Amino acid sequence: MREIVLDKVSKTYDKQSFAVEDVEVSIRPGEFFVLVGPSGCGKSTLLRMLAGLEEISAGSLSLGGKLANHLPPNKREISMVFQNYALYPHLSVEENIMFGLKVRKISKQERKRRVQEAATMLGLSDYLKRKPRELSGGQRQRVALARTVVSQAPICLMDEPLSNLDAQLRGQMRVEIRQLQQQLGMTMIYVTHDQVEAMTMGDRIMVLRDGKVQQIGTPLEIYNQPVNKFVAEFIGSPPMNMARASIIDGRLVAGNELSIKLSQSDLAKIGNRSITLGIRPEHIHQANGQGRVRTTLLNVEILGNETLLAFNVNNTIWKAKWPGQWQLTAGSPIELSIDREQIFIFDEISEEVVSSPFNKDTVLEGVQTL
Amino acid sequence: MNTGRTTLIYALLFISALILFFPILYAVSVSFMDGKDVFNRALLPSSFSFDNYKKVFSSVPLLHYLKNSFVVSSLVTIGQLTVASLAAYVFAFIPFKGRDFLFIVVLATLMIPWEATMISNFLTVQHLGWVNSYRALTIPFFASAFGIFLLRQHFKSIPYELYEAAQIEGLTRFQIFYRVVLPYSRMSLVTLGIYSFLTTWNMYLWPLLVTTNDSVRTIQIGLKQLQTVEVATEWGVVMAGVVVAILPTLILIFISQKQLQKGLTQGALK
Repeated sequence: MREIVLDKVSKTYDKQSFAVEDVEVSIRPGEFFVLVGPSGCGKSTLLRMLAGLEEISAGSLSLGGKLANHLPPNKREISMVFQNYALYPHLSVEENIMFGLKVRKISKQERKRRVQEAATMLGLSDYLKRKPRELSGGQRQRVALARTVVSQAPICLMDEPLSNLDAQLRGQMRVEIRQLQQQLGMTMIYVTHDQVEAMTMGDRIMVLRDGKVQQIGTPLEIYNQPVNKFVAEFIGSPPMNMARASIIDGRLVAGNELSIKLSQSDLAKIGNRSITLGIRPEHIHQANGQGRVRTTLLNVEILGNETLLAFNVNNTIWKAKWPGQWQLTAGSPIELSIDREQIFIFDEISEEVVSSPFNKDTVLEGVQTL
Repeated sequence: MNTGRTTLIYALLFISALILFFPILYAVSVSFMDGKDVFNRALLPSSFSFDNYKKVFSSVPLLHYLKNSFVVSSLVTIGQLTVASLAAYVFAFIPFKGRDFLFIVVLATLMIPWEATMISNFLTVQHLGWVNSYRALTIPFFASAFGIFLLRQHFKSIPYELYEAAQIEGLTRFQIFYRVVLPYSRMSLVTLGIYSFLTTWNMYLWPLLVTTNDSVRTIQIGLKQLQTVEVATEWGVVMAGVVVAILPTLILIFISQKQLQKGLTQGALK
């Protein structure tokens, strides 16, 4: 098993702007590593550089301690799953799966054995003689995965493999891919724009924005301790509520709706910066006298197990997530409370975090060690 | 659509088809006529006989011409497919400096009429000593700008992911060419193949220039021969020859049509 080390890896197409800038990370053998970010953030470019399909403009990539910047794709011992699966339409499922093995001149018996094994693992045994066009999206996806399995490459790269599937199938494939990765013990580098996939599948996540690394960490680290406003908003669904706020008489005030008393240490940290307030939807509760929000309900979505409330705070739409079923009417006035302990404060200009539940030492230790 | 409209459309289609096919149908009809019928401009032969066909095979070496045409057309088809697919692969997949410029140059040659280069081509072929050989009839047509263009456009429609996946599997460029790109583009290869076979089959001026005897002469020149061999042209015999010349191309189209349809319904994967 080989470690993947990226040192100041950059990519530029026009020699003026960076598509990927100074990425530094080392990915451990057997790790499920997720690259996440909005479209155009450079995550696919980074993956393609790892695959050798794209040249590295600057910096170094090493695989297992050896410099691999100029290694051709087939010498990197990787397999790759593409968004559109890249199945050969003129070959049957079986031929598609063993295509690469044939090229690598692996014996016929061994080929047959591996294909059988992978087909059983992925439930494709009945479809081996079919052509890809006769398969459903999920089955095609499995064929692409089977190709990875038979290659026995220690590193697997996936480029948004689930984005062509419907929501239900996506949920199912998420689990299957994760299980497959653990079963085979391969190193997985997985690109997605979907933060749910990132949170649920990754051992570690790298959040990218405009080609720059924002944060690298475990899903919970990223969720609990985002380093800036971008990460805080990107990870989590519904996203973290944000509003411009100001300090008036030792209270945090946003528009006419929100007013919270802050501690001295927080006030000291804020100083006289302009700030943005952030709070996750699950930390806005029914009024309990603390951290008051007075507003009008805009919309109520009852999802069965939880209820999403939408309302206005300082001209931005906020959402609160309440467990259970709440029969509330949109348009009625409502009073809410905010968990003071759970407030994030970001610098308006640098977007860096100024104060967060984490550096307030109120992190729930129990949750962290679960 | 209501029945009246459908009937009208089919009637119109039938009439236009009849008008379009009339020369061919009339040629078939004339090929069975005797001299008197032709002279009276009859539409249908008064008596039905194969005399003209017997005559045409005995008066000129028609089978020999047919064989020549077949050899030449097949060689040109294979040559064009080989050269065009290799060139198109490079233009579609392998980037190098000046590639697009080169492609435009290739396209630009489409604008030069063949007739304009005929004399210099003839001199070249003559200089090489290829006159009266299959080489003269085939090699000049191996490189076809149209073929390169057609295939490149189709190769461009191949998802680039397939190319990249093949790279990761460790295929060399040439392996990608014949194991991925060619099978994927089977239909456009068939199309180009039929096109080049038919155009070569129907070629007249060039074969006339580079052949001075019967050894490699093609069917189209053989037909012309029919008109001059006899003192008074026997149109029935000439038309019999024409029908024989058309037949192989018609058969080719019927066979390939089925193949083409099959290919179209197969469709590519999204």
